[in-house]
Amino acid sequence: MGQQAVHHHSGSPSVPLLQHSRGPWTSASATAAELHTSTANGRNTLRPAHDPLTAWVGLTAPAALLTVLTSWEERLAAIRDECDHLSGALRQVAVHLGEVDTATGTSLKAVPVPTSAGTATR
Amino acid sequence: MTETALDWQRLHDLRPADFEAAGNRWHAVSSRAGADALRVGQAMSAQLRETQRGDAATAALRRLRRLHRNLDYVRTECGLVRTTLNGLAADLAEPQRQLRLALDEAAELGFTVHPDGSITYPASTVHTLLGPQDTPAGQAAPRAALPLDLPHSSLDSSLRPLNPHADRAQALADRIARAVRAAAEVDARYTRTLNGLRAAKGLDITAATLRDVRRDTADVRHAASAYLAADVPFDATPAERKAWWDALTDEQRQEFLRIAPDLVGNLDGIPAAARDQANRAYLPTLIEELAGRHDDASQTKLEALRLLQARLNQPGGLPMYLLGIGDEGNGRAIVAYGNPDTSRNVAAYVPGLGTALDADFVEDTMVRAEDTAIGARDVDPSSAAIIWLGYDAPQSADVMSTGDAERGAPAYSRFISGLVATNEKSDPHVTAIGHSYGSLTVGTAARQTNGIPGVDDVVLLGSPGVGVDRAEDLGVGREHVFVGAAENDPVTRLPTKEEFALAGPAAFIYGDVYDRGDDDIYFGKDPASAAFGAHRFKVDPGPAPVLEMGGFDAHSQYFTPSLDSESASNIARVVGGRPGKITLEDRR
Repeated sequence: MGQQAVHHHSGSPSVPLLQHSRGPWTSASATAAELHTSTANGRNTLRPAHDPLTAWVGLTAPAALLTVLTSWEERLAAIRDECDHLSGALRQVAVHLGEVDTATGTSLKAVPVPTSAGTATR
Repeated sequence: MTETALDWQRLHDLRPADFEAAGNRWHAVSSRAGADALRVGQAMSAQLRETQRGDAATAALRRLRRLHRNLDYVRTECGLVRTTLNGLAADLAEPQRQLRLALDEAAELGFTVHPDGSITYPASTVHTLLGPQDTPAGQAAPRAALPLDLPHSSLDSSLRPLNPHADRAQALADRIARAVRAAAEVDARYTRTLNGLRAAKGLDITAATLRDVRRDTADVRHAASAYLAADVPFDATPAERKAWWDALTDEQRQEFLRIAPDLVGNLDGIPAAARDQANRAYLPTLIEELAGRHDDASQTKLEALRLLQARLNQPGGLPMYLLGIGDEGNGRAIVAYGNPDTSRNVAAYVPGLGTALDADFVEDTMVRAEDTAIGARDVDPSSAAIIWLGYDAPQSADVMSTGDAERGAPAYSRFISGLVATNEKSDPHVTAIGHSYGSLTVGTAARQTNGIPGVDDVVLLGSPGVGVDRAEDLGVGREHVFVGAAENDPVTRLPTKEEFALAGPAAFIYGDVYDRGDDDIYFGKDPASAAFGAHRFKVDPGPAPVLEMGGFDAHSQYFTPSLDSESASNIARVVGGRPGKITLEDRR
């Protein structure tokens, strides 16, 4: 697998996004990080759409809807935060299983270099 | 009225579109969660391939699974919120419209509608026999009760004429009050539904969560039923329904398939894959409903549906498409083996005497269609075969009449039209197969003015007569009619009704009425006879009813290669488009 380019995601240097040669755990970690963002964004779009409804008097549905909204904002927040934590945990697993070199962030699988210790990757 | 109750001004000012706009956001969140769930699924499957993981990895994998379930939960429930909001907007539209009509009329008449819903009307002059009389202005108070519950306006006890505006004002006030009441009812109903759609706390997805989701789906299905059903073209032709389905956006289709699958699953003209998805989604709901009923008929259907569900979920074998499912009458089930929309050859088999939605149907009758599909695919791989239980077949020979066939025939024709409308080949080869009483159903459909539109070949098996006396009366030309009749199949030798009445059912099988040597049988000319003029193909004679204690066995093996390979092969040849290869039998 040729080159590995390492791009550090701006704002979170501890989670490098590898463009090539990603092992499955590293890849999952990146996915979780992306879901953290997309969940946060989706969650934030909900409440503004309900503003016109707060002016409605006389119906009980809007109030019920706002309660539903609040509950889902909480759930989505929990999912958002879980994605963030999970991204870190998955990256730990990637390191632990030898997918990633913590110092350089490069994928160890892509560069088989024999060392004096006999391990195939560096 | 309290401060926050609905009144006509508030109803007038409502913009149902605001609910729809909010619903669109919920849909976007739902959709995004669905896509994200797929990504998590993909991420997980890579992990599962690894064998040595260790504790940290196992724990991470567990959390990924939970995340996956959470995203599914978001996708489903947020989708339900969206449908609820669309339903609310749709259901408020009519009361609002009624209100506006009433207000417009009041304005035209020069009436004043007050905030409390009462209406004042101006003075008027009435022309009576005694000359013009002035009648004063007045006020009508709103009454929200339904028209039939209201007393007629009482006659003034004096002899003075009434202001003609009075009745009209009263009617308008009543209409306004009823519109408000209807809107309030809609509001209350949807509030109840919305209250059930709150997210559970935390991140767990348990069996209870999943039960809640199912209950929520049923709730929304019920509350928004008018909205969901509004555009479904129940009364259109299959071709029109296909056009309607194709024109829907993907999200509109998903809304039906997820929330109201029962509305589209049985519609002829909806593509097979969609019907299959809808009916598989609906099946657990139907099972749950039947499980709650304790009568024998429901229990029988329940057993059948559970067996059917297990079979559908079994891996391997031909792909199965559940094209119809229902509990009306003796039960309904339409199952295809092979994709009827992508196959060049499609056969639809109508079962007969004694067929109902029961365990036998799943374990025996359906297998006949499967065997037919397997055999036909040997002849031409692009083949599919369907078992169509879309009517109530007679349950015993004693009570056979033409009524069931007459009721089933139009439904069968419509089903075939649906197959033709959704098939993707330019000219699919369609075979109608009628077995036993089902051959009368096929015959009844085929003898109509235009035959069964789309059918090319007709196969009649174990037939007690098909309601016509000649093969050419079945709308496909006699060259395209194929008959299988086992020598020892008593159903193909049923005497005419007159003879039956004389001899009785037991006598005709076991007595000397059995072999009469004429070609008129119960429902008309014997299709295996020379007079009928169809192709008769070879089948195994089957065990003799009395001497070999075969009873009706020879009636039931036409489709089964292990019992009658000649017959099964011949059926396959016709279905697969190679009728020239059938082995022929002399006609009776």
